[in-house]
Amino acid sequence: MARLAWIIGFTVLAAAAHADGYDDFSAGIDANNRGAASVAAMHFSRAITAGDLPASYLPAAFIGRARAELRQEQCADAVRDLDAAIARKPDFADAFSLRAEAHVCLGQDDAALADADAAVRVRPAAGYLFTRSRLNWNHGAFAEAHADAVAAATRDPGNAYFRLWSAVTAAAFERPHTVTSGGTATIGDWPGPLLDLFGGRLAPDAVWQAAANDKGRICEADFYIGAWNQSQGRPALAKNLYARAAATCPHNFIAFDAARRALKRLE
Amino acid sequence: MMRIAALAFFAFATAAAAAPPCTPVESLTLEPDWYGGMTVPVTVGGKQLSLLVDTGGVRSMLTGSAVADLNLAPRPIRNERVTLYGGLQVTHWVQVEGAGMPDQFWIMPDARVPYALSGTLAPDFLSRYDVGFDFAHARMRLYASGSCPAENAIPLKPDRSRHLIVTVMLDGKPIDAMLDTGASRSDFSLETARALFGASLRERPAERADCERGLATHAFHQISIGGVTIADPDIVLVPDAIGGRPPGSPRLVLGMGVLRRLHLTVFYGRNRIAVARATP
Repeated sequence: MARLAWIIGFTVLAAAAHADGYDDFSAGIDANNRGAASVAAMHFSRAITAGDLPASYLPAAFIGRARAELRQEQCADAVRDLDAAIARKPDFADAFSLRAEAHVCLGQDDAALADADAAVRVRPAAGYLFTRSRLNWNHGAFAEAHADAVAAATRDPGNAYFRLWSAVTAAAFERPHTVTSGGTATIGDWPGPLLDLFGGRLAPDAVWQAAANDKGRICEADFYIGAWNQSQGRPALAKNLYARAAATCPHNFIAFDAARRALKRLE
Repeated sequence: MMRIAALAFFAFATAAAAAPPCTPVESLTLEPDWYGGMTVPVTVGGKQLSLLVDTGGVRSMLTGSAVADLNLAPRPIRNERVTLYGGLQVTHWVQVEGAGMPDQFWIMPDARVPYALSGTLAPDFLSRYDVGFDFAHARMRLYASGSCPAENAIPLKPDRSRHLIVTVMLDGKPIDAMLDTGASRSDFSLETARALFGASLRERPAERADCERGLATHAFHQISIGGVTIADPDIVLVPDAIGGRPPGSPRLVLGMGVLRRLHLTVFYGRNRIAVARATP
């Protein structure tokens, strides 16, 4: 009888442990989607150590925790988790791409570019091309950056930021003729005014007006108007705007890192 | 001749009796995407692709990148006007050879699914089968239509696109909801929520990772779907101007945040769905 009770007890405990892994995994995804990074990391940690998560969910648990860690700027931890995700799923393009961001965060530019390259090799989708373009641009490899930016914008023409980035890389590559292909943005109203700036259809003042009262837009305007000024031969003005973007943009904004790099090149 | 017919009948009857009832014709491994949507690996044109399982879609789709990588020839859509969520027009489709797959896919922009994915599997394909979603065990099982008993299943509301629409109880109020495996979070029309819950709705700005503006949340206590009650459902309140739901469609869309906690079996042929709690 005692033995039977022990067996039943063991079965119940095993079932409870199993439930924990899946429930925590699910809670981790929900927390990440809400932007609650520390809560997400806690749940994914429990899900990973529970030992009962279906094998096909484990890479997602590691990348989920890495995403939460990156939001908290725990970049080395994120790299470790992305190593684990890639070890379990060697063709995990998202993990390569996110590890590239984690390497950027650690100042490891060569490793970042290698990972961005790996993501594109696995899947040459627009998002991964865009990431590689940004990293090449950071590196000062403007021709490569422009080629990837154009490829990303061609593969996903509805994404206004890809077209905007094409304009920025074209300007850096001294190919202002391609800048005129900006067009009207399709993601709400923003960043349409920035595209119109690069397309010569709008002056900077009008862009500032469109960005007013929105911190995110103002920080993006600082960087992109800076890049536009640089392409127009006004490096001093560009430098001031880059400095402001680097000081005010949230660290997970593309404009933050891009502004820092552009500033460094002008100093 | 009579004897042959009798033998043939006997052989058929024996085979039918021997075939285990309700056996999946296919059991696919589910993998979550970046936002918690569920994907399945499929082989198209000899290449392995990940497709998002999208019960809230209409037609299965491939991204522009996937179409280019597969070297497929896009053809213009002539007799239909196809508008995606957000107003974007779908203009082309592709023909695909391959057993067990949709033979036609619409072409969607890359950004409509996470970049790791190549497209979606929608009800045009799913409704050929009865489909079991066992999220806790990472399995999607396809059964021959009508081969499984549909006891304890509840009726689905009739819908031209074969969407999964049921009446749910949200904090004691009945409302029609669409069960959408292609959505990561659950969305509820802000205006409908205000009309239904009045002063008891406590709106707070949503902390959405992608920083969309104008969204709110309210701490709903529970939602009951087919007799299964889920506590503390995460539901975002979305103004109709942003949500862009077609007229007549449900104002509440239940995404994977809620659905992950359930085990669903969809009997498309009988227009019913069985709902149970996800039990690992």
